[in-house]
Parts: sequence; C-alpha cells; structure tokens
Amino acid sequence: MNLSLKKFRYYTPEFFALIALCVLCALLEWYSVAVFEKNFVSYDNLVINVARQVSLNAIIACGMAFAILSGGIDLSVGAIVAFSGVITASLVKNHPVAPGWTGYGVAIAAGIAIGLLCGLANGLIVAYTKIPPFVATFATMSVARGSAYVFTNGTPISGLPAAFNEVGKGYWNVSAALRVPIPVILCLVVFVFCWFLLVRTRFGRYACAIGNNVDTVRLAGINVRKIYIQIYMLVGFVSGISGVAQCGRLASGQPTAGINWELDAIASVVIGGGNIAGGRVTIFGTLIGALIIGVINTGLNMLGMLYYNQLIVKGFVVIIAVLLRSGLNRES
Amino acid sequence: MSDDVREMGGIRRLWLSPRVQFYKPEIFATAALVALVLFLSLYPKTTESFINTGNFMNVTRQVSMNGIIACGMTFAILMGGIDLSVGSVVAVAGMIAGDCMMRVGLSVPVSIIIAILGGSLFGVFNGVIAAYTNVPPFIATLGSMSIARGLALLFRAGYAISDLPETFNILGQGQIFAIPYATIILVVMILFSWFLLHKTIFGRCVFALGWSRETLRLSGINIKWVKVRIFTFVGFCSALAGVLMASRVGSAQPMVGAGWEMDAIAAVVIGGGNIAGGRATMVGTIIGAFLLGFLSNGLNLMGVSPYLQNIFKGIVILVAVFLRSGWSEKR
Amino acid sequence: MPMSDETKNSGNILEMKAISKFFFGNRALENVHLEIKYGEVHALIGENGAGKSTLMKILSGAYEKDSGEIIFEGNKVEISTPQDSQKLGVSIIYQEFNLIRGMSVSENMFLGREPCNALGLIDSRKRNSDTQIWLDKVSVKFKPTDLVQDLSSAQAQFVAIASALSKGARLIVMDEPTASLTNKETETLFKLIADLKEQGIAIIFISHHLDEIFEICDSVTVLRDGLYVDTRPIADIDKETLIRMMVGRELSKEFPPRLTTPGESVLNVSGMSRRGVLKNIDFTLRKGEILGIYGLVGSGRTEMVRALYGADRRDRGAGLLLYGKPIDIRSPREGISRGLGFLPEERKQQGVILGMSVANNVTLAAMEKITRHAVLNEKEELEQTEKFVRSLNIKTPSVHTVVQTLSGGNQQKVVVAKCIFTDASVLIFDEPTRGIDVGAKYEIYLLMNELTQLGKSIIMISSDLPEIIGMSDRVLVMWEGRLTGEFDKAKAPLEQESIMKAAAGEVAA
Repeated sequence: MNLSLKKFRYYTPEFFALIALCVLCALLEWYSVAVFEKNFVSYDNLVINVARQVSLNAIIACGMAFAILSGGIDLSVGAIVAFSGVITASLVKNHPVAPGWTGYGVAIAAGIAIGLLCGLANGLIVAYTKIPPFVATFATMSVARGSAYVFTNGTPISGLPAAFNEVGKGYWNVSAALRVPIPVILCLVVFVFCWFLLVRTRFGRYACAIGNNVDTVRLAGINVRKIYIQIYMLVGFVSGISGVAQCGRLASGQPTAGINWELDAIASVVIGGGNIAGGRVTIFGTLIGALIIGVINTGLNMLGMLYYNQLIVKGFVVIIAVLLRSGLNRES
Repeated sequence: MSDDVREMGGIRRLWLSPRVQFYKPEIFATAALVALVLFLSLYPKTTESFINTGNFMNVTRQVSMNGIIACGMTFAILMGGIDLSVGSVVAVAGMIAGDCMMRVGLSVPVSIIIAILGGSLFGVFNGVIAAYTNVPPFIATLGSMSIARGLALLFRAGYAISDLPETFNILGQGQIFAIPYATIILVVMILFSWFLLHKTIFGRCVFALGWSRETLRLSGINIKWVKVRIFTFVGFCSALAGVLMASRVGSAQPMVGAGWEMDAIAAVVIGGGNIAGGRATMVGTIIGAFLLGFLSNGLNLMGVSPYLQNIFKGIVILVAVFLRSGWSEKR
Repeated sequence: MPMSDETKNSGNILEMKAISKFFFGNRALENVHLEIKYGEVHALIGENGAGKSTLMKILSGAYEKDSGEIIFEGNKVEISTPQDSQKLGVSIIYQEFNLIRGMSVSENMFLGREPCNALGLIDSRKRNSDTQIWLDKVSVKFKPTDLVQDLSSAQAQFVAIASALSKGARLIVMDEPTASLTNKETETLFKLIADLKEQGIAIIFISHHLDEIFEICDSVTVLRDGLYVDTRPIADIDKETLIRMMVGRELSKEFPPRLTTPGESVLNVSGMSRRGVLKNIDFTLRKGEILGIYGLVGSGRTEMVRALYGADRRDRGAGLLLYGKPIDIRSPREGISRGLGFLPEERKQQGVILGMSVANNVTLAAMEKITRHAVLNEKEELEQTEKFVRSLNIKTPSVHTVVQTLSGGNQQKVVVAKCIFTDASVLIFDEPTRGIDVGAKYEIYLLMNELTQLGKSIIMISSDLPEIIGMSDRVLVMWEGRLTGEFDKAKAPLEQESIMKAAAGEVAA
C-alpha cells in the first residue's frame, strides 16, 4: 500500500473517484438519517451490505483492469461466471470424486479451471488473429453462455449443500462483534494479488507498455503474444473465482448468472480512472470504482428504485464515466 | 528448413489476406447457403419438414426481423463502428407501440410511427455520442443497450403488454399472395438501404468513413453529421423490427431481442463485411441473414437444442471475422 | 566496388552484402551494401525514400530481407526478430525514440529485462540504481524515476542512448538524432558520440544535415532510390559531390521551366498563430505563383497549411484576405467553399479513399456537383472523371478501378483532380512528389505549371531542396513554427546554402 500511496498524486482520477465516493456516501448518509432515521455509513451497511454486494464484481473488475490496460476488453466475463458456476455446482452436487470438502475443492478448482480455459481461448484469439478483442470476446461470450445452458439444459442446478454455500454466503467471524463476509475476503485477496501483479511484476509492466505502444514493446524483444494470452487468462481466472463464489451465494448453478456483469466491470475500471483506450489503469481506482457502483446501487434500492431503473442508471454511468475520461471530439 | 516454415506462413497469410482476391466472401456465403438448403431438403431426417410452404414462410418471417436490423448494422460496420444496442431497442419500440395502443389509446398507425420515432431516438443518442465525443461506439452502444433494456422493463414493471389489436397483429402475421408482409418490408428496406448506400452522398460518406476518416474530413465533409445519421438509421431499423416482432407475437415483451445484436453482426460479417470498416455489401448481408436463418431452422428440425445454437453462432462469428481479417502480425 | 578482399577482413563490425527487399513488387532496396568498422561513426545518407530506414529496419529485425547476407563481427547471422539484433548488440534509436511516455526513465530502460528478486517480483530499487549508473555514463541530470513525458526530446534521446548502452550495444544506429535538438543540445550529443567512439562503439548516423556529417562522421554511404551509390571516407569528399551522389541528376533537367510570372495578390495571411506550434505567420500568395515552403521535420510547415485550410485549429486574431476580402476558415468545409484545395502529406491515409474507385475519389470533395434531387448522377460523375483522366493523364484501366491498385503517382494525380474538381483557386500541395517515381514526378511538375498557367496559385511544401528550388517562384523557410526567411527568384537566384541556413534557424538578412 505504501508504494501506491507514494505515487498517489492529488490530481489523479483515482483521487476524484475517492472524493466522489465520499460525497456519495455523505449524501446518502444525510438522506438515510433524514428519512429512515438510521445511519448509511456504518460497518453493517458498508461492509456487510455494500462491500458484499460489489465484491464479486470487483473481483472481475480487477482482472478487467488488465484487459483494458492493454488496450483490449473482455465482454465474456459474465458468461464465464455462469459457465464456471454451473460446472462447480454440478460437481458439488454429484461429487464424483469424494464427498465433503475434498470434493468441494475439486469442484472449485474445476470452476476456476473453466475460467482459465475460456480466458486462454480469448487470449489465443486476440494474440494470434487480427480479430479485435471486443468482437472476439463478444463471440466467446455467446459460446460460454451457450455452454452453460447446454450443460444445465436451461434449468438451474440447485440444492447445493449449505457447507459449500459458505463460499459465497458465509462470514469469517473474527470476534463476536466483528464478522467479515467471505466474498469480501476473496475480493481483498484478488485485489492484493492483482495490485501486486500490476505494480511489482514484469507482466504488469508489459501489460501497461502494450497499452501505450505495442511496437515499442515488440522492439524491446518481448513476446507480445504471450502477454496477451496471460492477460486474458488472468481475466478468465478471476471470472472463474467470481463464478464459484456466485454459485455459492445463489446456492445453485444458474446458467443466467452474471448477465451484464461485463458492464459493471468495465464501469468500475473506467470510473476508477482507467483509460478505455488503454495504457493507464490502477487497481486501487478500480476498487473505488466498484465501490461507487455498489453505493449507487444501494442508494437506488434505498430510494425504492427497481432492477430496471438500475439498468438505466448503469448505462448512463458507463457512458458518462468513459466520456469524462476521453472527452469531446474537437475536430472541425 | 526455417525458410520453408516461413514460406508456408507466407502462403497462409497470403490466402487470408484481404488484398488477395482468393476469398470472395459473398460467393463463399452464397455457396454455403445453397449447400445448406440442398442438404436440408435432401437429408432424410429433415426433408419432409423442411420442404413445405409453412416452414419456408416461417424462416422468411424469422429472417425478416434480423435482416432489417442487419441492414442498419451494415451501415454501422461499414463506417468502422458497431451497434450493440439493437436488441434492446427492438424491445423498447415494441413496448412503446403496445403502450400507445393499449394505455394511451392511439390508433394503430400513429402508435407505429411513435414507436419507430422513439427507437430512432436511441439511434440519435448513440450517434451523438459516437460523433461528438471520443467514447468508442461499442462502449456508447453497450451503455445504451442497458438503458434501453431498463426503459423497456419500466413500461409495465417488467410485464408484457399482451392482447394487442388484431389490426396491428396483421403486420407481423398476415400475408399477401403467400408472401408475409414482414418479408415485403424486408425487401423494401433492402432496396432502400441499397439506394442510400449507392445513390446518395450519405452512402458514399459511409463507405469512405470506414476507409479513412481524415481523407473524408479534409474533403470538406461533416463527418459528425454522417455518424449521427448512420446510428439514427440503425435505430430506425431496429425499431421497425421491434414493431414487427410485437405484432408477430401479438404482445410487446420487455425482454425480447436479447442477443439479437449477435445475429445482426453475424449476418454482416458472414456476408463479407469487414468488422474494421470499409467493406460490406447489402447482398452479402442478406445472404448472411438467410444463411443464419436456415442454419437455425435446420438445427431446430434436427432437434438440436436452441442453447447449442448460441455456441454455434459465436463460433460462426469468430470464423467469419477471422477469414476476413486473418492472422495477427504482432510477433 | 567495396567488396575487395582486403576490406573483407579489415576489422568490420558489420557487413551487409547485396541486401534486397521488395514490397508487393516495388523496390525498396536492391543489392545494397553497407560496411561499418569498429569504433567509427558512419553516415548513411540519401533522400526521402532512398531506402535508409528500410535498410535499418532489416538490421533491427523489424523487416526480413528478401536476399543478401549480414555478417556481424565476422559471423554470418540471421536477423529475423528484434530480439535477434538485440542479442548481437545492435541498438537502433528511432526518431520518436520508442519510449513509452507514461512510464518512468528506469522502467523504459529496463523494459523487457527488469531486474527481479528471488520471488520474481520487480526490484525497482535495483532498477533505479542501475539506471542511475548508465545515466551517469552519458552524464545527464534527470532522475531514473522521472516520467519520460516530462523530459525534453533531447533528454529522451539520452535515455534511449543510455538504454542502448545498458543492453551492451556495440553498434548504435541513430536515425535523425538532431532533428529536434537545439544547437547546444546537438553539441552535447556530439560530445557523447565522440566518447562512445573512444570506447570502440560503432555508430551509424542518419541525417539530412550535411554539415553535421562532415563534423562528426568518418565515412559515408550514399543510397538513392533503393540502390547503393558509393561508400567513401569523409575526408575524400566534399559537399557538392555528396549532394550530387544523393540527388544523382542534374537539377536543370529534372524540372520543367516555369513559364508564368506571378500576378496580383490572391491570398494574404497575417498574424496566424497556434499556441506552441505556429508563431505569427505573415505571407502573401500571388496569382499564378508557386510558393515553396521549406523547413526541417518539426518546423511547423504542415501545421501551418493545415491551420490555413481549416483542418486544425488556430488561435484567434489571424487575418486572412482572399482577393482583398477578409474571410474566416474554421473547417475544411469552409476552406473548400472559399476556394482552397489541399493535397495532404499522407496520400494513402488522408488523400484518397483506397477502397473506392477513381471516379468516386475525384468527386469526393464536391459530390453536390453531381447530385440531382439528392440522388447521385453516376453518368455525369463518369463523364467528369473521364475528362480529368484525360487531361491529367491518369494511367488507370478505367474510372471504375479501385484507387488502391494504382501507382503512387497516379494516386497523387487523383488527389490533384479531387482538388481541381472543387474549383479551387488556391492549391496547397504538401509533399506532392513523396514516394513517387522519377517519371511521375516530372508529370506532377508539368501539371503544376499548367495549373498556374490557368491562373491558379500553388503553395508547395517539400523537404526536397532541389525540388523547392527548381519549382518555386518564391520560397518561404520555416523553423520552429516561425518564418525565418523569404527568397524571391525574381530578385536573386535561389541558393541551397542560404535556404538551409534559414531552415536551421538563422534568420536571413
């Protein structure tokens, strides 16, 4: 954290995102106290409610940050969530290997492996063909979603054991007074992992460099294709984790899980100061972005708005966030 | 030895390069269409259910909606953009038409006009963002896809508007001389699109925009205005398809059209449209739309799960775009 | 020829022999030789399109040669990727330096070979301290943690050189290293080059500035139109010979004589500026005149005409008079409607639509002229285009042919036709003959003469000095966004020396 704070300059987009988050919280606090006579800013609301809500999206957003950083995008994340979720669910339910946590472990590994596999497919297409990333991942989205449907025949796989559902629903009871939702812990782990990848590893440097100028990277003797494949595998990996957790949260494997999640993930990255054209992204900002979306959603719920109003707001939020970053077209 | 390997790479690249005319997408697509129809009419399992007027009519009706949207999508792809919001606009247009007729109590033609105008407004919205800001079209339309879907659900809190008037339903269900009205509208739209593309200044600009924005700008053309008109046209086509869809089913449903952008994009790229812009033909697009229509019809007749067809479509898009764009040179 | 037995083993670090490279059947290089000795500064010169950069790209592994062989330190080597050349110890410093602007100096220097700790994580402390060592070697003051975007272009150049040294480069190629440097910065660079030479590092120096070549180089290789001309020690050669070797032809035969004398003033520009790009440009264009504009890369010539045409913004307060009437041009659309025509520098990206036919391209800028009731009248379009094909002698199978398949010269004629079709009276030609073969060049010159005879005025930008001198009635010279010289042929013959001086920033008397 220390390192990122040192680089954190007051005029960066992440800083604005942080301010926006605080302002939003303050407004909702005011509204909540005035109307419902209860605090909005409280551990129970912010961590147990908002953070738990956004954690699965934030996990994906951390991966999406790398795709966007490299100048690409991954639209297939939501479908990967569904695909890896149904695979995990079926393995948990039918435990062909062993019952109990050994079986769950295999199921979870299989779900994540499915994510990696989808990511590998995306990566290979992006690296070896001229198909633009958004078309490639748009098509694999259809393939992955279709596979989830085919696998389940369109009906959810429900009736998973409660023990397994802890993955998405459970809490880690630190003390009698303090409990942390498991998805939030997962999210923090992924956050630290991705932050580490971005700031401290060659892979992160290369992803950033590719988004700035592919040719320079090629001329520096770096295998660009390998980096592309790794980036999309990373996105698949985190989508797989998110899919497994979502499966636990829903206590079932749903082929419809994760619809439109790509929108949330892209919005998180961009709201957090990522440049949609590539070359600049921060993991910290992405997390803030995800939190902003969560606070907006919670706020909309509080105002009594339904799912479809949220869709409308989300659409505008994406467009406006990208607009604020990329600006107006000033050609005469 | 290394030379041989390189040579093979060279040949492979040459074969897939758009510069070389080995691969004529329209001819390829036409051949595939003919082969598919022949196969379906000769294959014992499908021949009986395939060769009958009812089935053909069914396919043409099905293709009509996608074909109309694909007409608009051709323009968007030609200019080097894309419109992902078409499916949601289909739903919005249907809901507007239904709401006008059932709640406001307007007459059928007025309702249809309002629905089409409403859908076109989404096109204007997309176009203004694509033209006057640096937001990439796929993000802009991804956002408006969500907005439009939300609006469609908003009309009846997520419920459908059913029992639409019979006079309205005729549009999607009726026929004249065994030709569905929907097909006639499709033909009109194809001709209109072809006319726009080849006989007007606007059409020239759409082509040119996909090749070089800067040349067009330096030639004194207001490219922002061209972009706005392109997306407005896509919105118009989607809205028209939405009205047809509502009248065909007899009810306006808020979740209709989900994933239709896939079909429209697939039709254009199968017909030889280059996703990077500058290349696409109306003929190719329509062949692409029919190819997709017969493909899913054939798969249905053979009893393949509709879910599997999603997988199919994704792969078909990948292959079609790949044949157009080829291998990457990023070594 | 330089392939005698004695040079073969006489301490050459690099020998490139009989290198050829064709792009889609067009010659980029044919049978080109290059020999570099240990610790020498070797100039590689030639006009634009002579093949210098292609040759260097083959050396760097960005392109693969079609034939020929490369011998590095006595061994035959195959260079097919940038990695290969890096491993050999060849480093190329491109004009745009190939640095990533958003990353720090040390991140750029160690891109692709970051020092890592035992866990495989980047050790940024070590990276910064290592960078400092190399920065000290080229004696610069900035820090390894500074972002490249905050450095001047001279500083960025030093980063690139330090980076090359840190990779163990034995041979450094510098492509126009002084193009964006001030005189003082150039001196510092030359001092560094001398140091490197002491250390036995060979340098290939690509430059358009002949003075610099005589100042620091030991020998020179000249290329022309993709062919090898000669290699000479610098001591054995003088400037005139060198220019003749580069240009390879007598100037008088290359350009048709100008027949028109400029008339009344047509366009009057005063006080045109653009913050950070253009400063206070004043000039007048007369009827039937060819006004040449010369300047080095980055002098703002293209920016100036683009601002004039309305393609780029310019600051308020510029005065434009067309036939004495004040006008305003804020977009290319307005430029065209005022009677300006623009032939841009990048023909393929900005001049033509490669995928459209000759006819569609010719009418592109004035389609309303062939439109009846909102419908394009294709018959009229074809008739009009046929006229241009005949009068401009555009060699094309038909007016329906896609422009992509035409040669560069004919594509350029299509752009000229496009400008004329808008009834432009002031034509702005930005590098009209770049990348065009000699025969076609002559035709473009004839065309320019004809156009001025018809009473049109031409502003011609060119980086080819003989062309500027051969074709212009008057020459304006630009340097760093300013006009630094005006030379009128009617008053005194145009001279290379004085124009070059003005282009280097010395204001002419």
